[in-house]
Amino acid sequence: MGSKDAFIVGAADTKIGKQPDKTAMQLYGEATRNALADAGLKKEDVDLVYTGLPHSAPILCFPPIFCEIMGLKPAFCSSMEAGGASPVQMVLAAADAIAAGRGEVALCVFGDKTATTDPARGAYAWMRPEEGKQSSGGITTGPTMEFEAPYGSFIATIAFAMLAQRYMARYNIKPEQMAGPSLSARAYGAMNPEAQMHSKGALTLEQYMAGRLIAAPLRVMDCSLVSDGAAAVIVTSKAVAEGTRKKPIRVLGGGGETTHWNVMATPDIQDMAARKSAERAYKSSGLTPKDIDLTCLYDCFSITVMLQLELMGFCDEGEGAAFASSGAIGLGGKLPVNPMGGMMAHGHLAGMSHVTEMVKQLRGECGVRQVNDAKIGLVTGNGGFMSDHTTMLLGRD
Amino acid sequence: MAAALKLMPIQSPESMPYWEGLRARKILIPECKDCGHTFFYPRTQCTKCLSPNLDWKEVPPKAKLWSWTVVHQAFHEGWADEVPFVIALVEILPGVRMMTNIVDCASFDKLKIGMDVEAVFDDVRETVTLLKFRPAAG
Repeated sequence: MGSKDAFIVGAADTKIGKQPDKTAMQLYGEATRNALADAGLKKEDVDLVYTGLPHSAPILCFPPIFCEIMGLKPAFCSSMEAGGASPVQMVLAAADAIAAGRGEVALCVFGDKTATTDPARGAYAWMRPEEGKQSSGGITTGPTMEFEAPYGSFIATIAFAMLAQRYMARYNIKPEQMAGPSLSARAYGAMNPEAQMHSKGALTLEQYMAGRLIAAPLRVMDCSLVSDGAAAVIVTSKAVAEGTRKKPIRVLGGGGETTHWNVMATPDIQDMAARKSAERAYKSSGLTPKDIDLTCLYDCFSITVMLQLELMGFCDEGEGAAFASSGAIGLGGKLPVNPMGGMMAHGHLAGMSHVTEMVKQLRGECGVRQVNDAKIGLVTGNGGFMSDHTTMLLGRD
Repeated sequence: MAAALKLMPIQSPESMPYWEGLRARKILIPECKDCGHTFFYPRTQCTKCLSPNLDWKEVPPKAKLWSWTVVHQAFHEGWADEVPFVIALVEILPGVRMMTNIVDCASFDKLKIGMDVEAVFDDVRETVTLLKFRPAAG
């Protein structure tokens, strides 16, 4: 028995957007209740728990505290702390544990409250030191605070702007040719009533180009949203999956790669972690890029999508921007990407809603944004600055 | 309210020779005595062979621009009066990169990947010197 005999049988999200009256812990609880209800399982069935660590409330030993609050008594609980790679990593870890017989029903839950958290609290409180005092660096100490922050670099936008700059220079790509992922995200967002940008509708190239520069060459529409929300999935064995309410979605394989964390340690754009992460996932599943019907790619910035399309074998080197602008990643295209609208239109749950969207797509539950005949999907998580990357393949039997 | 302070380097014991070097207008980076590998930022073992036998190598005060961004939105009050400004990655030796600012740059349009830049030692505090760069003369 291998991890291919693990199935996702529950997938649910909370509302996503500003939720000032709820804490991250409450959102975690809500996503958990929704995912268990979706699966038709009880909290007493859960014997493995994997969580993230909300940046809005980064408390020590978050997983057992979360379990205590929920009245969960699992065999194992643990948090994943590899940035945006964590949601995919937790599903793969759950699948492996179930395949190894260490548990039968795993809860994987991830969320945060970054839209309405006071910047003077949470993981980034160090950015607002007491008046006249130097920052302690908080939990962001280490090489970042010693060698990067003093130059003004302590946020992902700076890192991805420099990757976009190098990408555009190497392949002679003009600013208007970088719009593909942002336009696609907003077109999907217009189809998804749950998306934070739903009411704003689709985006035109003119609107994209009129967007202010944040960190050149990145414009405002190249950047992800901030969100309050959580999402959860339930992973289980074949025996348990057979008795659940919805069509089980099989974990077909996965892989990852970690090359670095800090921006100064980045490899060049064609040597980034997404390449080996994909190669390992293809090898473990026996699948190739041609077999994949749709993807949910981690999309913290538009450049993140383009680089992954190239590194993971969906288009040639230097062609990611053109591929993303060609209609290929839209509904009805060759390779739909993030039909829920992704982080630039739906919201930013560090990649967990990429997992739940893929499950819903493979079940065929997505209404107007449903990808026709979706059987095999690829989901990615990306931590840091293309630093640690994880790939997972899911399939409908 | 007093002007917000920029973030200053939170210095680690293994990096002190680097920081002391900058105050003396020298750029010192770690070099492995066993395999000859050079790297940045400082650690207590070689990133290639894990040897703890390290030395400090002085490198010339110049580098090549690897990539950069012109920052238009201040992400911290300490930089609110500086925008637009340039954050960059430069190669001090082939494959050895560091984060920096490009200063004394009359026109951002002149910045090009691979261009030569020269060191500027910026005494931001009495006890702290930051290594920045400017476009090389000529």
